[in-house]
This record gives sequence, structure tokens and C-alpha cells, in this order.
Amino acid sequence: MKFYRASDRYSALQFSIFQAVTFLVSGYYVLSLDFSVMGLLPSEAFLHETREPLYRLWKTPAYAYLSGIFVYRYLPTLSVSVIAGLQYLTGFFSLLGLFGILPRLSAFVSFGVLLHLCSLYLMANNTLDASTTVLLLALFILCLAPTKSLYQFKKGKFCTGVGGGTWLYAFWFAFAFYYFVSGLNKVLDIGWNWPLLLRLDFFSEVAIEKSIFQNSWITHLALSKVLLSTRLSFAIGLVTLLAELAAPMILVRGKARNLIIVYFAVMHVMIYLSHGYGYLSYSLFDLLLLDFVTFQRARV
Amino acid sequence: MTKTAKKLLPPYTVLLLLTLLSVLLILSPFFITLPGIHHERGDLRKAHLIFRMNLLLIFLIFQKRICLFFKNLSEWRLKEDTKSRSKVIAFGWVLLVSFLFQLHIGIFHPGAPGWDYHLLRSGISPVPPPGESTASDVAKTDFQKALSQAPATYLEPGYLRGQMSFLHFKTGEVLPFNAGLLGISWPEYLLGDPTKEIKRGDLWEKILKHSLSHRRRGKKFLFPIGISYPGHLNYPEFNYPSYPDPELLTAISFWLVTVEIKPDGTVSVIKSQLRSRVEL
Repeated sequence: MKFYRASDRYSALQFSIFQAVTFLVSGYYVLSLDFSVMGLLPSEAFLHETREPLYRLWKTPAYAYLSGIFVYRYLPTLSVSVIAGLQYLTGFFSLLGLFGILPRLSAFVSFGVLLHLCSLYLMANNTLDASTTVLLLALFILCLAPTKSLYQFKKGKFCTGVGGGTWLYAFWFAFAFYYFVSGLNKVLDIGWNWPLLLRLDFFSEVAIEKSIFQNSWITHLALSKVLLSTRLSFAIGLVTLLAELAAPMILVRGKARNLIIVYFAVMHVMIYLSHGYGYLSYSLFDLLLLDFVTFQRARV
Repeated sequence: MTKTAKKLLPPYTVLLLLTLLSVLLILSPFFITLPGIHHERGDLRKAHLIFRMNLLLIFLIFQKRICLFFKNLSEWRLKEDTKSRSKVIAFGWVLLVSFLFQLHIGIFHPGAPGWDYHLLRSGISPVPPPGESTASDVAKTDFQKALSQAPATYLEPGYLRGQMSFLHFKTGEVLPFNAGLLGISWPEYLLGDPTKEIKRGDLWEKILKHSLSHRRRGKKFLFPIGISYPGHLNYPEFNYPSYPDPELLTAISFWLVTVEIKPDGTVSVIKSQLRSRVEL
């Protein structure tokens, strides 16, 4: 097994790309979506479980304490204008981080506020895409990484980051683990025959039907038409399960890893087009797993 | 094993901890209720219990190989970056524990159970469903205008039933909307099921007015919708910028609508049944 042993010079380059993309996506995300509607909900909306089965998993005491949501047992929930203000604050700090101004502070503020807003949203029995979790994970990595590893604009000078490789690989590790457990869940919950049971053709047919009434999630009609094939559904299921279970290969050198990564990136775009589920961060962060270090070496 | 590696991350310590954790997890279903989902294909708790037992077995059988793996892992990056060592190890443990205990910790969650859609079935039938249309102020042309014709070319002819919802304004206009305007994922759990009975009419009013005011500017928040980050659940966008002032809202209504999909690829409304209506 050959693990990566990139020199610090190249790791730093890759970590800088990671920093820039994370802050960019964070700002883009928080200024695009409206969390302020949560300010209209009564406090009991955040405290009672109403939707099964996922919320038994999601709304755990651990999450309530880690995200700070437990305070709403004692304090009134935030108003619309305060939540909107927090969104602008996060957007502002994300922009600072992107330009290398106070990157560590920017990471802490962006991570802390965004985690709280997302938690507020989840606690009110809503759902957020798993790629939001990945964005929070990326911001968390920036919080943990040493300040010197982040590129900075300080005293009129631009300073490139030093090191950062360990934290970049920690992100890779978490990402690989995340994909792997997705595959594992399918096996544990449904069984090894999941690809055989997967019926994307059934889903696509119903999705096309529902789109007549414009009252359900969007679907790309031509793509859904292509997916009306049982064989294709099986093939997609099989490749997806294999790729997810093989996700730990992202951590080791090999030709297959870039193929797996590109498959994941494309898969999330396809899910958006066919199901209407947005996973943009996933696709963007997937591409950050690509081995820019080796690309750089090849050019040298 | 090198001295450095031993110092950095003793593999046997890791193995011992993993084994202990596995034993704890095997017992956990009896005192932790978190993973207790009763899924349609069986009890997930049972599935995870079997998985944990297998995990323990793997640890016991492949002790040496697992030790070697952790040795390689510890020598990989952590040898070069000793300052980050403890943080990275703690980070890895947090991920593992959150998965095994099925915890959502903000930066990581163990994922949803697998979906396979095998129970989904087409709703098209050769005969129209029973029931008569409800008389109301929503004209047949309002329903017809709110339908999308394009999907019909991909479908077999027949009759199909679906839900539609409308905003009623003081100006007399009746215009369609969907749950995308609410900005919350499953409004029925908080606001009542529109196909049965609506709860909290005051909340519907507040949320709709709030969101419609953003949508009339072509935005969800700051960026225009066309270039916004797509949310998790994406609904079709009606032409909200052309809608009247949200303050002019007088009522919302929810309908069960039957359409006929014709062989020429067109769709027409056959009947519409009012399911619920709230005066604001």
C-alpha cells in the first residue's frame, strides 16, 4: 500500500486551493439560501420531533450541545433579522478568508455561525444536503489547521501557506470515510443485493409524472427518460456501491482513485438533474480530492 | 516497528480501544435507542448489531494486519507533522464513534438508510378516478395554466392525479405556488397536511409573505435565483416576480387535480377537488 508522501511545497499548494474553495463555497452558500424563515417558527418547532425516521438519528443530544441549539430550551429563538444578519456576517468573513485576511478567525466565525444556522434548520425538522455537512467539515479542517498553513494577506504582503498537508489528508480521510459509510449503510440496511433492488426506472417514471403538476422536486425530463431502464438502474447501482465501498482508495496512490473521484462528482450532478436534490458542495469538494500534487510533479 | 511510530500511535493501543469500543457497541442497542429505526426491510438496529459483531470478529482474526495498517498510517503523515498528531487522531476517532453510534455531529453524520425506490409505482390509470369537481373561485384555466405540458410527451396516455396549490389575492388573481416557496422541507409536519387539514394558518401566512417578498425580487436571499447555490430540495420556480404584493394575500387553497394525458402529448384538467383552504 503506497500512501501519499507529498513534499510540503506541493501540499501547501493543494491546501491553499482547498482554503480558497472552502471560503468561496461557504460565502456562496450562506448568501444564496434563506435561513431567516426559521425566525418565524415558534420555539416548539425546534424542540419536538415530528418526522420519522431520520430525526431520531439526527436530533441527538450530542448534536444539540455541539451546535449550541440547546440554548433555545432556555432562550427565545432568533428573530428573522438576527438570522439574516448572521448570514451576512458569515458571508463577510468567508470573503475575508478567501482573500487571506484573518483566515483563521474567518474560518472560526464562518464555521461556528454556519453550523449554528444549519443546526437550527435541521432541528426544525428540515433536511439539508449531506454536502452541507461536507462544507462544514471543510471549514472545521481550516479551524484545526495551524495558522501558518493558511495563505494570508498581512501587512500589505501576501504570504503563502506552509505545510497543511496533514490537514489536507485528514479531509481526504474524512471524505473517504463518509463515502465508505454511505456504501456500508446500503449493505447493512438493504443488503449486498441493493443494486438489484434499486429501481431508478420506477423513480424516474414517477418523477416525470409528478413534474406535470409542478408541485414536486424538479427533474430533467430527457435524463429521466434515459433512466427508464431497469438494466441501467442496476448498472448505476452496482458502480455506485462499488465506488463507495472502494472510497478508502482515495487515500492511497493508484490509477483508480481519480476515476472514483470523477465518478462521485458526476454522480452528484446526475442526482441533482434526475432527483432535484442539490449536492453542489459535494461535486466541488470531490474535485479537490484530485491529486494536483502528482499533476504538478508530472509538469515539473 | 520504529520507535517513532510506537511513540506516535501505538497500534496495539488502537486495536485494544477498537475492540473495547466494539464490545460496547454490541451491547449498545440494549441501552441506546438512537439507531432504533424500524425500516421496511427489517430492523436497522439488528443489522447494525450484526455488523458490529462482524467488526469485532475481524479485529480479532486480522490483528496483525490491522496493526500493520495502523503502523503504516502512523508513519504516513503524522511522523512528519508531530504537532498535529493528537488532533488528527482525535479527529479520526470522532468520525468513527459518530458512525458507530449513529450520531449527527454537525461536521459528520452516519448517512441515511439506503433507498431503493422499489415500492414506487406509476400513478397513470386507464380510467379517471371517482369523485366530482369542487365548485370554487379557481377557474379551470388557472389549473391549466399552472400545469407543465412538456412531461406528457414522455408518458403513456391515461389519467393521472396530483396535488396543486394556489395563492388567492385581493386583486382577484389566483396563482399557483409550491412547497419550494415555504423554504422548509416538510411543511406538513409543522403546518398540517394540506391534503387533509391545515394547521397554523397564521404560520402559513407569515412564511408565505416572507418568502414571496424575496421571490418577487427574483431571489431567495442575496443572490438572484438563477445563480444561487441550489438548496437540497429544488422545486420548479413559478413566475413569482410577476405576483402581486404579498400583503394582498387573502387565502391559500390546496387541490387534488385529475388530468388526462392524451396520445398527442398534451395534458388537460378533467376535475379538481378542493382538499383544504385557509383564509388569511
